Formats: sequence, C-alpha cells, structure tokens
Amino acid sequence: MAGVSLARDLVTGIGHPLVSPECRGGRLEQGAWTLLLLLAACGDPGEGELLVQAYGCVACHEIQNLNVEPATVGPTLRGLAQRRYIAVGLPNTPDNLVRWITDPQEVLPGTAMPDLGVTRREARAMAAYLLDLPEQTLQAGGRENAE
Amino acid sequence: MTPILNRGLLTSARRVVLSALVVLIVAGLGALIFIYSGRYDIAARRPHLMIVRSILTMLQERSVGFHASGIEVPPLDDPARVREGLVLYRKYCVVCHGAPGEAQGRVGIGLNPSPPPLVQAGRKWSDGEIYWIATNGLKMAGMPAFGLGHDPDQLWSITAFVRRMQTLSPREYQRMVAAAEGATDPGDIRWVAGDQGWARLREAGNPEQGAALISGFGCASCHTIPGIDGPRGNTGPPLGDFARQHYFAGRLVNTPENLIQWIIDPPGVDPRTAMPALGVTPEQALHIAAYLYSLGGKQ
Repeated sequence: MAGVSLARDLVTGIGHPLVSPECRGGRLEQGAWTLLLLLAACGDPGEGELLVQAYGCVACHEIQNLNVEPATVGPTLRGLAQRRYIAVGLPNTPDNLVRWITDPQEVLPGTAMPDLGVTRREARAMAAYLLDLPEQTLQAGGRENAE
Repeated sequence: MTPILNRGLLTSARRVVLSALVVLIVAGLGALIFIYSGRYDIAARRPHLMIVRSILTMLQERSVGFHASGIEVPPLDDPARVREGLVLYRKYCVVCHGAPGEAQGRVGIGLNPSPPPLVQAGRKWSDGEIYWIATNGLKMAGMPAFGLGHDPDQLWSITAFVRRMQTLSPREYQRMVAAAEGATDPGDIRWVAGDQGWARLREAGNPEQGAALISGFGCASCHTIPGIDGPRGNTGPPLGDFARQHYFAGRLVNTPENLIQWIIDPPGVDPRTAMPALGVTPEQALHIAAYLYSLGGKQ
C-alpha cells in the first residue's frame, strides 16, 4: 500500500517522504524502495559517482568515502535518501533533487550552492548515486556524543 | 664467563641493528624502483594513495605553519581594504576557490589537490598564514605565488576579504560585487563583519539548559540530535555536526546571531521552511544555540 502511493507520488511529482519512518519494515521493503528510487531517478549510480567528483561536489559536501579533506561548507549527504526535505522545505523526491542539482539558484535564490552547469541527464545519474548512499547510522561517523 | 656473555650480547645487538639497516636499505631501493617504474598514478583526476596524501598534507600544513609564524598582521577590519580585496579576489581567486554562492571554474575543479572553498579557510589557517600562502603559493599544488606580481598591500587586502568571506552570505556577497564592480552602491553594505554573536554566546549561553529546552520543545521529533532522546526523525537535517557546518537553512551563514534568529522564527526568516515557530524566546534560543555549538567541536 505504501509502495503504491509512493509510486503514484513519484510519477506525479507531488512529493513523499522517501523512507517514511512508519514504513521502515524489513530489509526487503527497503530494497524495493531503493530500486524504485533508482528507476525513478533514471540514472546510472556508477556514472553519478564519477560526476559528483568531476563537478567538485566533494569540496563542500561530505559524500560517503569520497572526501579527502573534511567538507563542511554544505550539509552532509550521508543517508540523503532518508531526509524528508532538501534545500529549504523542498520535498525530497528524485525529481526535486534533479531540479536542485541542475538549478539551485532558481529553486532557492541566494543559496550558497552554486549553479554548476550540470545537465539534466548528468543530474539524474548524480541523484541516483546520492539517493543510494547508505543510511545515516546511529553513530554518524563516530562523531556523535554518546547517549 | 663474563667476557663470553658480553661478546654474546654485543653480537645479537649488532645483528638487530644490521638487520634493521638492511630492511631500510631494501625498502628504500624498493621505493626507488617503484618510483622509477612509473607505476604510481600521477593523474590529477584520480586521488593519491592515502598514505602519500597524508604525508603531503602534513608536509604542507606544517611548512606553512612554520614559515608563516612570525608574520605581523596589520589591521584588516577596514572597509576600503575589504572592498579592494573583493575586486582582486574576483579577478584572481574565484576561478579556483569559488565564493559564497559562486562555483569554482573548470580550472579549479580539475586541480589535485582540490582548491578548498575559502569561505571556510579561517577554520584552518590564520590571517598570517593565508597571507603567506597567497604571497608565496604552494609547491606542487597549483597555487600560484601572487607575491610575484603584486605588492604586500594588495595581498593584505585579499587576506582581509578572505577573512570577511568567513561570515558572508551569498546574498551579501552579490550585493558587494554589485557595489564594488558596478554602478550601484546602496551604502549599507557591511564591509566589515561584527562579532556575529559569539561573545554573547560564550558569556551567557548555557548548553545544559539548552539541552533541556531542546527536549522540552520537542526538536528531536524532527531532528536527530546527539544527547537528546527522540525518534531520530528525518524531517529536518541531523544536527550532530552542526557546529562544523558553514551554512545552514540553505543560505544563512552559521553564526549565533543567525541561528538564534532562525530558532525563534524560522518561517519569518524563510517562508519555505517546514520548521515551525514554536514560541522560543531569545534567551531560550541562546541556550539552545549554545548546546548545538557544543556538538562536533566548536569553531
């Protein structure tokens, strides 16, 4: 049931939390979501990983293990798929993410994220890669204080 | 008995030293052969081996620290200086280092090591070090020595602008560019930044009280915050590393002043946000900010 409504929302671009806390069932369900994300993003995550480095995204964002220097200008992209919103108040859907990557200044004028001239096709690949990044773990990179 | 024992000890010690020497020589030869073979990938588009990268980074950081340590920094909080620095920065530096809201050019992206975004340079380098790097450049890093074609005064202006950039929002930057390079100068541009609220935070902000307030206001229902019990929500971004982040809410520089204003009235600051106004008072927001800045290492 949750999967059907997600599919509908992705198609119509309304927006839907990608990994709703209520739906966090078994691993299988998580796998199905991921597959759906990749299909919806219509991009090749492998190519996306190369593009994310080619465009210098790692200069500002922490992305999985791609960073050589700590990158804290922008937010971490670990577990991006779990986030409900991106930018400010923009529902985190593949389409919105692609829009954001290609044209941040249009989506959020005055944002610190610059226009990099990413084409839509490239952005789809990058979105597919970013949305496939592993979940934010409870001990996020070991930097969280002990609870 | 004793002479025999002595001879035995000496021989085994000598053996150890000799073995160590042989190992070192063989390792050194091995390294030379490897280097000569050309097998090491020197392509800029692919990263160094981690060990090589660590050594080179340490070499660079320690060298700059050592050589720039005696530099006397002149007063940099001068509007005219910052303005001149902006013009020079846009001419020479933006292409590799970017600016608030402005991307580095193709040249910058293709370099290895990658030219860091200088909006955060102040975290790593002192003013004197920034001046030294701009003047002298960095070997094998693609960072030119601007001292060759510019006088110290201009380089201090660039340093002054880089310093100002640490607290510059993209909007303010765009206004500065328009004022410095175009015809418009509205006259209310803050060429010199204030304290941004740090002094007050350190004096009066109470992190423990902040933690209690965060629990009380239910922030943890949307944000994952270390030390605060909650459902580990993903509606808002995780705040574990908040102190290290340079921008937040898309276009605000991460300063106590901006953070407090945001906490008190997020939709007032940005109508698009999903974060609601919860009736937090300015004093409460100060303590909450104090707690958030205590996570992940303060500036």
